[in-house]
Amino acid sequence: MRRRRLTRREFLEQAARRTAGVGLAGMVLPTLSCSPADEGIPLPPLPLNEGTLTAVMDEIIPAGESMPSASEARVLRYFRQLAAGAPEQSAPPVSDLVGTLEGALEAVDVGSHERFGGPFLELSEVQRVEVLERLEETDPAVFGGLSVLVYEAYYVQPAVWELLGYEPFPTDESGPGMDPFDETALDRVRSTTTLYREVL
Amino acid sequence: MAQDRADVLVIGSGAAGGALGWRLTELGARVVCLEQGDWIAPETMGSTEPTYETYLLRGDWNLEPNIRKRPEDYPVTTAGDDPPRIMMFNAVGGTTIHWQAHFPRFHPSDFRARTLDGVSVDWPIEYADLVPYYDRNDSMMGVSGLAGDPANPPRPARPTPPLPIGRLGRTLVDGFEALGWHWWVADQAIVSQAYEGRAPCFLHGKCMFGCPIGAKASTDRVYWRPAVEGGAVLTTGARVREITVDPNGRARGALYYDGDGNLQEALARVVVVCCNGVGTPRLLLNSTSNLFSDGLANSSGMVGRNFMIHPARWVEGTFEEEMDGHIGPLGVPLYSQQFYETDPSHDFVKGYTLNGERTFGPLSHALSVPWGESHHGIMKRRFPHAVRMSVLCDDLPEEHNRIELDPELTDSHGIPAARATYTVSENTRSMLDHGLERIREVLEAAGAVEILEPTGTNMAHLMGTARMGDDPRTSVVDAWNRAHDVPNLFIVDGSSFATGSGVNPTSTIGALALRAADGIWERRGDWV
Repeated sequence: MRRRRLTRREFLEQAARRTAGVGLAGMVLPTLSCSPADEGIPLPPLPLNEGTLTAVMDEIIPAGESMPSASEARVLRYFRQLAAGAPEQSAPPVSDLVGTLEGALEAVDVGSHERFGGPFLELSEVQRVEVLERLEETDPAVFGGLSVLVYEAYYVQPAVWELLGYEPFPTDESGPGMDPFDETALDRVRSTTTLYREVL
Repeated sequence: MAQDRADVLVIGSGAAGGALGWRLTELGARVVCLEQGDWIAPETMGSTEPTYETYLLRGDWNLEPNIRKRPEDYPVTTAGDDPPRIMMFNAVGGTTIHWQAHFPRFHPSDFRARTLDGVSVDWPIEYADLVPYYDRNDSMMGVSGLAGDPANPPRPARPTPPLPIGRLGRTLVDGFEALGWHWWVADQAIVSQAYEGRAPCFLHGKCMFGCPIGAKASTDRVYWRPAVEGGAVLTTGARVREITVDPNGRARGALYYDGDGNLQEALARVVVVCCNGVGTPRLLLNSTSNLFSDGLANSSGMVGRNFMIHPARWVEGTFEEEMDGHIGPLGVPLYSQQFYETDPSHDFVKGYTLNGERTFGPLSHALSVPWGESHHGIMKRRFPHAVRMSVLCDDLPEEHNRIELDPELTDSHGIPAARATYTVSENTRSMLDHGLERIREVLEAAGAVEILEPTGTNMAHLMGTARMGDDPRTSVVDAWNRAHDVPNLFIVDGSSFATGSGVNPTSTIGALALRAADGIWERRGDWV
């Protein structure tokens, strides 16, 4: 569905709000450890097992190397925003987001029961990884649909950008500085013979 | 309901339609253009969103119409051993809304493949015929770059200086210099200084999802604004179903669905099709009548055949140092044509361009990083440490690579979808292998510590499906882009390419369009 066109004023106001959000998120994220989905404006929970979803996403992107896990990075909140069509979320809607996640979680739990005789949430970390590896191998489309969503939700977070050293340079602001091209770098190439074929 | 008769009806408002519509308006023709998309407001561009990278996955700024599915998009099914990845945009400005804006020219040898290399066909025109139009198009589009490249014929000083090449570019320069190979800073249709009322590039790095400040050229701004001010009529939301003909076999106009879904007919003395290498053959094949039962302008059977896409592959080098591939214009900072011309020592004919390539942000990098415990370690090694290159191959025309009407699928107006069938030739496979090895050499010479070759996507430039030639038995249009079969029908876009060359096509599409416009105007005595 196409978005309604914004007026210039609305555009600038939105851009300003988003810019403010970058700084706020960057300040709080490194100290997060749990319940990230509950931060900010309350959003309805997803109509699926959020506990299993959280456990799965944290195996896909665990904490490490000074980076937060998926749940610490508010991936669940991102999904809730998308599912609710929250106005503060600018990412395009996902066709059947809940169905995609739910289908993947069902496949995870089926695999969990088949391999270890119990639900995913009750497995050890090693067992969880094994279940997900098997799902990736046996049903790559289902696993890929889930993992790409988790990656997306993680890597659009301003706090994650900050930890990676990525500056987003919004298009309503001046961009980064870069040195002008140094034409002397081409001195050797300039002195070479013509490379193209003349056609008479 | 039929409308007033225009001098020239242009179908499609992209790189070709924009240049041609503007030029004919400037010359004094009464131009009407039908465009199935709409004007794009800068503030609605995907690049303005902080989550712009999600458009690589889905949404209304995705690069592929089959994923984007805006109301104005039409489906393109794909087939063959190497189904192409179709990318285009349907709006005023066409695909120049979301293109990379890389702006190279063909080489003189590209117009003489049969004579020089014994393959493919010669064009009925030569490089010199296009030079004044390349120059004019450069001036209108506002190109940044540097004249003097020994791999190309001389050209005038570029309208604006080269854009910065950044650490990524300087790293590649180190590689090329160590190997002693050709390289040159790229011509890009992105202005580096204020130019003709346009702001210079701010180096945001999100150009593929629209340039809201207008530094990147798109034909809605560059050509259509002055054309409309000059009197051209541009009708948006107009999806053309077929070109109509009169009892004498001349083009009469076009039937199209207006924004309310009502069928209308636009009449004109001259009809020009500018719908790109997929949309043009689709429209011609859907324009059947008693006089043209196999589709319009198709007595040769060549409409839709010889589809060329420029097979390309990308390779990424990882460096110890931080790189800046995710900022700066997302075009090509520099290129090498060391292996562009035919070399008898190679196991292929023709050649390719090696392009330095900027990248997107963290999400696009992460998608190729494994999940789990190793994820962050690998991600941090690659981002922001990546330098990407591509090899873009000359693509010889082959009849089995083609655009047809899909027998089942239709667009939202019931018009058959296009079906694109493509198989990479052995010559091209050899060329790709050669190019990939050369990229590895460059990246290693530049100091890469890891080299990755992402899965090929078979991205498609859209060319060759209504090709130009002197012989009506083997080509669709003549040297002035006029259909052999229909004297007042012109086909002006990448579909008229006789060969594909080893460079991005848009500069040549624009030059051909300006030249075709002059040809149409000079022969206005033939208009009826």
